[in-house]
Amino acid sequence: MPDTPTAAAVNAMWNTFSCDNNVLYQWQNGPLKIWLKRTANDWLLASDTFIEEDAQTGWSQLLEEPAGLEWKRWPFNDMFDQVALIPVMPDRPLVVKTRIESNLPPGVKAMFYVHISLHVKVSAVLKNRMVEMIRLPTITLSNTWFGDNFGGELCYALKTRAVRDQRDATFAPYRAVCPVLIHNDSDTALPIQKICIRAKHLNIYQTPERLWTNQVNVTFRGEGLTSRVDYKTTLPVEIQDARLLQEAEEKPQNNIISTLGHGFLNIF
Amino acid sequence: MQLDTFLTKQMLITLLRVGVLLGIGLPLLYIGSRAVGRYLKKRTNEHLGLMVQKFMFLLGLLILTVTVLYEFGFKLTALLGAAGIASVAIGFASQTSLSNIISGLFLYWENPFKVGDLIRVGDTTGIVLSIDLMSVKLRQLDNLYVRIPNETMVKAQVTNITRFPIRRMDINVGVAYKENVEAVIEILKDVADKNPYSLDEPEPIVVFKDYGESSLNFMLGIWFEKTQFLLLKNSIMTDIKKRFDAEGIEIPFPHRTLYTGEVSKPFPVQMVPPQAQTTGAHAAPTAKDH
Repeated sequence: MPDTPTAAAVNAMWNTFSCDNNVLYQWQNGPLKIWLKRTANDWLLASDTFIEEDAQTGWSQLLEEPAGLEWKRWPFNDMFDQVALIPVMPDRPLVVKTRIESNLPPGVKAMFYVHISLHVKVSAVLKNRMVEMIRLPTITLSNTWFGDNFGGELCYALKTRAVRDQRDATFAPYRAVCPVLIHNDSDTALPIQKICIRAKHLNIYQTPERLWTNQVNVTFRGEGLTSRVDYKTTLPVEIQDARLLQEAEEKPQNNIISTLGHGFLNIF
Repeated sequence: MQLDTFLTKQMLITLLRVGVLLGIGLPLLYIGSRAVGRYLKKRTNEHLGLMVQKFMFLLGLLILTVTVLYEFGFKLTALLGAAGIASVAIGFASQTSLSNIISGLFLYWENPFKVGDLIRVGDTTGIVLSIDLMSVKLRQLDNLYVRIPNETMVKAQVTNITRFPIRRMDINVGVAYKENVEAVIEILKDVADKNPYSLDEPEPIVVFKDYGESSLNFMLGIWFEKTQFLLLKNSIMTDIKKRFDAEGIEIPFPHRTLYTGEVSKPFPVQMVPPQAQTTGAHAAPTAKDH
């Protein structure tokens, strides 16, 4: 992996770090701050999310404990002396709105780039053993409902917008870009206002420029007809030199999409 | 009667047959009714499963009882005759019970709620513990146990609070008349938007309800996932208060304005100096005055 500033930033964030006994460490990635310390066989962790703060100071040692931390404890039988901070996808489907409402004419394909705020998986490490302690969001996302008043699904609402150009959003080591290729294979225009993505089917890749997920291809065949969605195991052709950071939580079972009307796309 | 006279060979055989009947029949009946109940609970709903399980058990018990009586040589025709007369008497006496049973069947067909739902019947709010032949059992939120006859459930208005996955919380907010209406609406929308338990979609709504006696009245409607009621309620009420305090928006107490008769003139107030209170015209009359 070429040693670009963004690659260095990603490596500084998502890595395995050694922890000495009774030493306080801090990790910050975007609005999320985590404090960690180890006492013999116990691990203690505290976290907080700062709405306005967006620094990425990464892993550092602290001399003084900030006031008001609410600690959680994990006792272990063995002395786990390292901690791994790994990016993972959020635990719910994600709803993102397009920056500008789009109408896809029949026969046209359009690529959208969705910037997904990642969660961090904190695991205690001893040689080859890794034990997960907790998963935390880097950004506290608000809840949203995808469906109607009678049924649907609880999702997270992404603060970012789906964009047509991948260069539209600035790099952040806590965000991964998900390319979504939508093909209107019907006779009518397809209005696209928002997209719901099942994050559990997405891998996370690292490239010299940013973090990516695998591409999702959606083929819309018309109102009332089942459409097809494919979770590719590859990235778009123009993205080179990618390294797999984290596999998807779940492989997709059925590639079916149901268009709910009014421009909603629910990608399963 | 001598024991050896009673315990003839025939009687012993009968006792053995009854013993086998009960020994095999009762456990089979119990296991069979529970198995059918479990199957129906998985396939349909818990209510139907429970009802069928109990009905099967009671019916099987009745058949076993009649069979045992038959083994002992009781004449069933006489029994049926007595049962016919008894049923008339029982029918009159058990009108309410029968009504409850039939109401239970209607509840099953309509399915207005299921076990685990939070419902309100009149003034009683509770979680449904079971829907039985005769009654519905609730556990109130303060852990009280309530039994409501099925007849009452069918006649009363029942509100199923957790039927749908999302609900709207309506919060009434009053602000002083001097406040800017558009600013208050924007602030309330922003407070709702920033609360993590408030759903982005459906969007929160703010309604300027009316001009109250002492305040401008607004209603903030926030949608939430049904299990997050308490989380939203506590956090949003705090958020609104904090934000209003930060923005200098007054939540007024009830006001009363006194007029002397003319709206335009101020209410007359006369300041009385301390000395004048004891020695002046307003002093209480002394004995000397009399």
